[in-house]
Amino acid sequence: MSRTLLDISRLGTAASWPSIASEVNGYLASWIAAANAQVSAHQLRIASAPNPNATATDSCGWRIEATLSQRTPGGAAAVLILEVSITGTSFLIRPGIGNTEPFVGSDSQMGWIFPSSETGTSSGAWSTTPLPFTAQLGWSLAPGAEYFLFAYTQSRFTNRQAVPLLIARDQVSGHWILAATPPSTTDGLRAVCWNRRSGQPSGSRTLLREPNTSPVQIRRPAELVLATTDWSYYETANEPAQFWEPLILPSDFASLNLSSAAMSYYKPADGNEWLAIGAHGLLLRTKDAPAPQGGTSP
Amino acid sequence: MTYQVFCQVFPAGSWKWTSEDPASIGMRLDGAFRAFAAAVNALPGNASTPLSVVRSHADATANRWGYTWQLGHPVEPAHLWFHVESPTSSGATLQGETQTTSSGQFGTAKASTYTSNTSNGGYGSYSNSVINSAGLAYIDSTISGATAIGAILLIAKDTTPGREFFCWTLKTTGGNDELHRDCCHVLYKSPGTSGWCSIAIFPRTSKQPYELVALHGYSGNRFGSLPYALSASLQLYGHQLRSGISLGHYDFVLEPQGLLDTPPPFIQLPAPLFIGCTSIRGASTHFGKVTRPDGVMLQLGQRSLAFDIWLWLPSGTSHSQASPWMSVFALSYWRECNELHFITGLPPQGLQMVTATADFIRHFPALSAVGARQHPQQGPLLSGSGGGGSGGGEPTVNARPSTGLLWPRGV
Repeated sequence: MSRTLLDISRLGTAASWPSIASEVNGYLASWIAAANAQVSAHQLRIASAPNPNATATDSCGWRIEATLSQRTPGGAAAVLILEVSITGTSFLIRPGIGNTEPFVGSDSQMGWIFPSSETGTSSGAWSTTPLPFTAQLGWSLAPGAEYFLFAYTQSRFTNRQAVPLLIARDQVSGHWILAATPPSTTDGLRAVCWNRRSGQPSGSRTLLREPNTSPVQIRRPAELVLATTDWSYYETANEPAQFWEPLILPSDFASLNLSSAAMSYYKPADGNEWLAIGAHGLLLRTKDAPAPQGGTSP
Repeated sequence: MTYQVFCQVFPAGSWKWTSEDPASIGMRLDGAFRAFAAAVNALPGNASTPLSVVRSHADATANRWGYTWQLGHPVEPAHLWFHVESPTSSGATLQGETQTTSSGQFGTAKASTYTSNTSNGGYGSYSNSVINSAGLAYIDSTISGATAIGAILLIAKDTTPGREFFCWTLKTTGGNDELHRDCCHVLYKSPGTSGWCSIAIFPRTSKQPYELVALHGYSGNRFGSLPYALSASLQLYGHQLRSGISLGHYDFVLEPQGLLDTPPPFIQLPAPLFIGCTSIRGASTHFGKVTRPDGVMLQLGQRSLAFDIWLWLPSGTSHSQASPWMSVFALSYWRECNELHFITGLPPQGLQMVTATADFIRHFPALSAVGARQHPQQGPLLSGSGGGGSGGGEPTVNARPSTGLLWPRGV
């Protein structure tokens, strides 16, 4: 049992973002230390931690970097970036690529390089109204399936449900995925990773799932739809055809084709149990299906 | 050699879809399908799902041309057909120039609804069927305006048990680039289902309004168009093509029976096929090719406002067909393409159905008064244990800090 679940819910009157973020950061730092020791090929770093004394107008959040064993076409180690911050009531997520070698193309905005032109910033709003704050931390050091997760909901409205941090191993490449979802119904997930097969950064802005008009279903594995647009190390015209592998979250995640589901709980017939996090259909496994009973007869 | 890809060229000025000449494209397709059917029908796993030909070009008595195939099934077999009407002197069904009308149809029905007679141009009639409009751009290169049009019939098939598929593609050459309508129909077996599945992809262009992406799984009860996972798996306008796609499941069979707890069977696209969008890019509109160290990707469909379809040929892919069948690599039309993204997908490993609204059996809502008490995750927090975890044996499960926590409130 390598999964840890921690409820950090509290009354809304006790839920200031700097205090919450600082508490989460403590768990995150411990987990990163353990994860770096275990996954030595890739190194995570909290480049910037939340300031517990941030005022209402200060930017408060994280800048997290992942240095992968993957090499860029220029030969440098690929670096992923995720910034998550709240300033006042503005909640901003920026996924990025941290390499300094020049990219061919023009998808650098204000010096920031997104994993694809369709995977840029994502934003939402933090409510300063003292709404009940229900929050979940989860992490795992299961080899190959490591993850750290922070999710909260301030109310049943989907624009108050977020996954500010999701750091997980891609089940195909073994690279870290840095992802986050702002409290917003219209602007979803942002994720950045590096595709082993194409040798290119890959972004995502949505989970692969059926539309909500289909029968409601829990789908595994949780796969991120790749955003592979004209961004690349190549010229924006005439880049070679590229082959990609899918982006798959660890087995403790699944997708659900319902929104407005944060902190709902699902007990499907197969015995797994799932907690819904964020407003975009991501599920976190809280209980594994029991092992099959009985044995094979001779 | 269970996986084979081969083709035959039909020259401009003489090729006709609307012909029952044994050397014509329709009868060559019929022959290729019969050979495939004979091979897969002989496999033990297909004893209850034999394929057969109900009608072919040879049965045409009037101006309707095409095929009707029977898909075997242990409960009830089904028919699936593609028929095109030949041009008339009035031009009402002329295809190849105006493209504003189409006489083609892609249809499905239960075999039991079929009356085998000579109506409908020799193809018989159905008491209950589903028809989708479809069409070919050029169906007769002997008529005025289409004499420069040639055609290629490309067949890909796999007779490996459990992975059976038969794919025919009609590609046209020459003529107006905007009018091509390279299309593809695939019949295949999918893990998780006993019957045959089908996908037909006809392109849509500014001159070709009859887009068709017909996904059919056959359950023995009826055909079903399958859910949207195909489009959901592709980034919009991303010029992505994907394999390993789950095309959905037979929810219409399970839900009315209350069988939500039964894991639904998946329909899974054959691995060599990549479906996606190539609306803008690529060096060729319909003869694209991407060469890799371990194989070649060939474009079966064409640039489309809807879907395109490509086929993966691993190095060494060949065929054992007699002339005039030939290797697809002998064709000079292929053009190396760029700016495309091929994503090798991973089919889902498990689907579990749950109710859309809270039922407190499978689905527990968050943050309602009742929900919090019943909630498997949050409910125990209300039991007044004072925090510090969920108790013996599972110290790391849902451990709750002892201070600072007031929601959900303890009672």
